[in-house]
Amino acid sequence: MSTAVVRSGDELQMPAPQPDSKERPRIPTTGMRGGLGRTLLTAFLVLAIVPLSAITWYATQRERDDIQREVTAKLSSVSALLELQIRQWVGEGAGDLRLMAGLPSVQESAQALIHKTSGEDTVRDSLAAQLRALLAHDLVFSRLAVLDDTDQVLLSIGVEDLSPEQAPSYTPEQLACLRSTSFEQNAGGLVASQPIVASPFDEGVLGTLVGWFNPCELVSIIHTSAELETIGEVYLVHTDGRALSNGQKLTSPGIESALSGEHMEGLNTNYAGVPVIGVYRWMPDLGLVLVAEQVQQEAFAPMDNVIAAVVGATLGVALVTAVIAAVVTRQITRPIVQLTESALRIAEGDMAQRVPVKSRDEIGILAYVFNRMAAELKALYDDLEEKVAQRTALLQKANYQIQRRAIQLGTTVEVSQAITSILEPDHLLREVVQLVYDSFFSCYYVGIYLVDESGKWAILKEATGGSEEVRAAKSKPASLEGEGAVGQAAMRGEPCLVRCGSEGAEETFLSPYVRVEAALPLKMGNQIIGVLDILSAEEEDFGTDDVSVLQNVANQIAIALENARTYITEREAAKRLRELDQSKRRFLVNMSHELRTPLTNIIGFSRLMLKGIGGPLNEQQQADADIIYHNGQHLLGLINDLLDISHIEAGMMELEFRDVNLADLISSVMATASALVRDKEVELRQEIPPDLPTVEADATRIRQVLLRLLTNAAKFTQQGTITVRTQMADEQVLVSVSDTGWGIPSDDFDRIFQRFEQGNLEQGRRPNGAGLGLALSREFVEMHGGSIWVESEVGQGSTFTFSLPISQRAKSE
Amino acid sequence: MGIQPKDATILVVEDNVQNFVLITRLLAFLGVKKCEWKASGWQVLEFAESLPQIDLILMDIFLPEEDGYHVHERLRAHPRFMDALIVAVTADVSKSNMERAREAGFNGFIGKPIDPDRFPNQIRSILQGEEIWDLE
Repeated sequence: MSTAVVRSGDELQMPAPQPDSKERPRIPTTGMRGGLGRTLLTAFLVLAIVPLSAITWYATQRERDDIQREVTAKLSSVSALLELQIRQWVGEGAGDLRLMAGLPSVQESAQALIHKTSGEDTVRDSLAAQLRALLAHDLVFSRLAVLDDTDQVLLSIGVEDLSPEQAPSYTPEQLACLRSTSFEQNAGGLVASQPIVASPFDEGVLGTLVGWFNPCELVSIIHTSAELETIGEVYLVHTDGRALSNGQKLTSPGIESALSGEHMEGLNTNYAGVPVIGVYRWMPDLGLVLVAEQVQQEAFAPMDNVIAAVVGATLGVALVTAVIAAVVTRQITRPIVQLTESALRIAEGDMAQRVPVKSRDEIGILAYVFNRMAAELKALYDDLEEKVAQRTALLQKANYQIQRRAIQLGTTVEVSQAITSILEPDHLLREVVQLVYDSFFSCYYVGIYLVDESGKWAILKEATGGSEEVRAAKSKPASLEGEGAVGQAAMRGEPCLVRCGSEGAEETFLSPYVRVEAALPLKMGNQIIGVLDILSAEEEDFGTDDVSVLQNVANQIAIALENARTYITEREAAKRLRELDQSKRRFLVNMSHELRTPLTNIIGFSRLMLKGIGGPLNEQQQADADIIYHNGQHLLGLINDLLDISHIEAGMMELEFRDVNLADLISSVMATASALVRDKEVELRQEIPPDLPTVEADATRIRQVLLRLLTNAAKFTQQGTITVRTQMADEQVLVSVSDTGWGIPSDDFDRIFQRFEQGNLEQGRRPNGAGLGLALSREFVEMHGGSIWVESEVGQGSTFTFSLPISQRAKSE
Repeated sequence: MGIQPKDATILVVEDNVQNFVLITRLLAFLGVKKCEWKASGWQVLEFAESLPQIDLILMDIFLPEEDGYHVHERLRAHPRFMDALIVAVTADVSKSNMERAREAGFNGFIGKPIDPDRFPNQIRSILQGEEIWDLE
């Protein structure tokens, strides 16, 4: 039992955490470390990279603008120069044309051709030769033509018409360019015209000399500019959108805006969709757009190096920043992590934990404070542990007491239960001794003594446990006048304790195991009937509480013992009574049998005499014999009643129930009863309704009851009437016998139905009979499920009524 | 059918001599001329066998030596008395006793004390072949 107590004490110490890895709380150490480090690193990187990036971006933009501006300026200047060259070239061509038109030979030829004079062919030839000479002169024009005033072509000479020695050798591209500005198409060409007048003084216009500028020459003018190679692409576009170089249709936002009259320069995309920086000059008088473009990629190529340098620098800075950030972060977080881990270890119960941070910064202060707090905590914890240990010890003790008490009370209940069910005293004592021995802790020996009849000695009745020596010593009777605990307890009626070490204890204990003895009196009221004696091996046993519990048990034992004794006595008394009863009944049966034989003779022979069989009797003899005969009959009645009573008592009286017609039964009884009132002035009457239902009854017994009531009525009635009435009441038939006799006092109403009782009659007027008649009548009626009662007034007569249940058949009818 | 009382021979098995005398007197009053007496249950069968004629046996139940039931049983076992008239005459007037007699095969039951007024007629009825079962 004590182990259980200690175990529960351990449970109380549970607050200290167990170093159980399963139970260990999840600690977000790495998360904390990573979190702070990551935050710091991110901050450092953002600080380093963002401004660098912004500056780079700004510088790049500036650079780009500068380059753009520079290229545009260059392109503008080039295009302006080219324009100038083109204009100059065109002006030269126009001058040549004017000179030509002003030649008199030309004028004459033209006039001849227009007027279709004779010798037209020669004129034509000479004019053609002149035009051919002009064409071959400087290659400004690709074609020359003479038109009349209605614009009809009179003569047309092209480069292709030149003789091979005159004609320049064109590349295929140049030829394609020439063809694209064919005269017939009247498009894509740059044209100069000069009116031909008849004479310098004559205002009349003969026709027009028209010259188509040679595009190949124009293109070559542009291409000969050495600078252009480095700049990019320069080309001319005709108003119809065709390139002057090859007649291809070219279109781009810059060209379109230039064609619509706007001068445009800056970032753009060329006809092929490539981003370029371009300058577009619109020459309205020539119907040409001069386009100078440089591909952006080329233009901005120097910037790529700058950007690469800047990005490289940024990355380098970022790397350095990251390293610095990592170092700084580590510097900051390491003490914090150490603090955290220390705190965790303290939480796990390692109170001696201290943080080894020596720095003098805020973290150092924090560590110092933390260490102090840990020390405080340890002190508090130690104190708490001590208190817990104290409390646990107290609880343990209390718990032990409670368990002990619970067991004691349990035993008390068990003892009570066990012993109240045992009714045999010896068995009871045996059980009690064993129960107490088994249940009460460190019991060494248990014995029960009973005080003997002399009241001087307590005799051992039952014992268990102990050594042979102890049992032998204890089996001796204990004197109530002696010093022993048993004797003292029996003498004084109070619990008597003897502890080890007290005077004379060692002698009585007889065993080194026995430490204390308790003797508890078994009391019934003031009487001491015995002693419960317990030896214990536990010195601490039998405190005040223990003794009171044990005394309680002792009281229970005393009560149970007394009950058992009483039970035995009662049982024996009951047995004796039963035997007595049986012998009485046997006696009655035998008696009645034995009485019948002489009665047979008394009744029989007196009747023989009365009948005069043996010869006639004189009057006196007749009267005497009559007395003998009637007394014999009376005696027979008494004997029969006694027999009935004994049968009823033995439960052997069995009724034969049949459906009985009461009217018939009453009539036959009345016939018999008429003899009873033969010598008196008493009239027998019967009032019976005709439709009386049948009753379920034993006809013999009902006849007996009715006859007895009539006999009684006749006995107590000297004159008047005796009336038998029947009536229905619920499901019963009531039969009453009324007389006009002496009557019965109401005090006797109950008593007269008791056995061997008669009405309280005046001396001398006591009628015959042992008083069994009404008692038997009541028994019979009640056996029928009915009842019998009397109504009477002294001097006025009596009415006896009994009820009988009507038969089931009568009920159903 | 039936036997006239004056022709009948009746065996009375009765241990009380006065009872026997009373019965004899009452039977004589009836006109019975031959009455045989056996005062115990001992060798009733042998005695009965020795008699030339027996028309009725009045049997007490409480008898010395052997009780009425045993005697009755032995008589019934004999071919001559298998169908003879045997009536129990006894002071044990309990209903159970009468039922026992009926089951045993008695031809009637007359309780003691016998009623001198009714007894002669009861015997006459029995001799006529009727059965009498009378407790009183």
